Amino acid sequence: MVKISKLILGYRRIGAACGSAELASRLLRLGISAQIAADGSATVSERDIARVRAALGGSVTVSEPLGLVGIYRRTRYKALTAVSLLVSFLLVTYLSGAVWDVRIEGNTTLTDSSVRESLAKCGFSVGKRWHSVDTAAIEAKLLSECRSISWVNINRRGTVAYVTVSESDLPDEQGDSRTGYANIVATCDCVIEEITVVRGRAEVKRGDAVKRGDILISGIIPDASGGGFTYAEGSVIGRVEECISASVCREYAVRGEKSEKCAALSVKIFDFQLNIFKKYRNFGDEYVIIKEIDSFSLPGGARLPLQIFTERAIIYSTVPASYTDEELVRIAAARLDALTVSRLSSATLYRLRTDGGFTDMGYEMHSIAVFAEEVGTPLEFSAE
Amino acid sequence: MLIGGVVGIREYSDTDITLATHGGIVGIVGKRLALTVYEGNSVEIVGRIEEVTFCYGKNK
Repeated sequence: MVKISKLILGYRRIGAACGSAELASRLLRLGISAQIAADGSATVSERDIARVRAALGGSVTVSEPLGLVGIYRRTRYKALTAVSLLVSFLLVTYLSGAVWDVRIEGNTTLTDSSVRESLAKCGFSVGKRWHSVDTAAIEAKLLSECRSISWVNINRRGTVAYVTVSESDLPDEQGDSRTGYANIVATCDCVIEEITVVRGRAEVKRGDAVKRGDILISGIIPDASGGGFTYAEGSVIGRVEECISASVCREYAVRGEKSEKCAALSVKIFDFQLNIFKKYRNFGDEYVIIKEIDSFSLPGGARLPLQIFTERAIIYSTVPASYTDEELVRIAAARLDALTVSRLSSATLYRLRTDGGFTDMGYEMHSIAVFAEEVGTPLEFSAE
Repeated sequence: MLIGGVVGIREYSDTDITLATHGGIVGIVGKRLALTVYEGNSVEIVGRIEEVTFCYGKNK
């Protein structure tokens, strides 16, 4: 079989009476690449044919030029062939720059045509030139305009665009998902600071003290406004007073001296794992298993298909210890600080008073915080 | 199969190829064997190779 490079650049078939082995040896000594057939013929590329003729002389017969170059040389209409080839090349180059097909993947509920239609609205359809298409911009535009698609990727393979989509689980409109009726109730005891009603009727006003579970915005529409039920929506900010406390025990246990024992050893060669040793017994009250994998690589970067898995048990002994008064206060303060920051992360702090004292067990510190935060949460109800 | 350091082809048919290399003689037996010579004393053999024999030295 003639190689594609020879087919394009041209080749000739040569024949020798000396036999295929002798011909191959001669070509080998000349340093000429050639495919030798068992019948004593060989195919030599067009650029080497002059060297073959010079070296082997009249002992070989050389055929007419073959391949594309040969066809071109033999044809009468060289100019027409050249123009045809050029026009064909330009035509293929021009046509390969366009989007010939758009294939949709990953859609389950959305139809291919609806995704194609959405893409067309974003400026991407069959016939568009690839160089004028900014796939990242089209993807972003499609995501912003089509809420039922949560992710999209446009890939080019030749002249075909493969569009992979991931459909969104969320419905198009957030409000439409709220079926049924609900009141907004208080999540804790507080004093109302601010109330904003989007839907429903306000049941409290600023300055009112409410208990946990009280209705703040009602989903029952009064008869004067037409009657009926709705899903109450709005924002209610309340002033809350809360005690945050942290305590530390004076006595605690520390890890003493440690010992180390091998717990398991196995070797993995390719996909075959050989367990050499494994210890199943309990190592004591406190121990940590450390797993190690040793791989071996060669200087060239290649990795040997051999891995050694080792498990070591680090065994600790516990020793009782106690904090000093200063340490107790410092640790309690740090814990209370972390709790306070966590609790007040989404609140506006008005006042914070901290106090502490020693107890039989150790030290207890507490803060009384007054802050404002969202206190309403929807509680659905049935109209029956 | 690509073989380097080839200095000559002793025998060549579609079932049997014998090459002389710098290291010695290489014999290949198979079916539908085809041979391509390259620059730099390299030889490529394609086809169904069934047996390869090596012989140290220049003579069998």
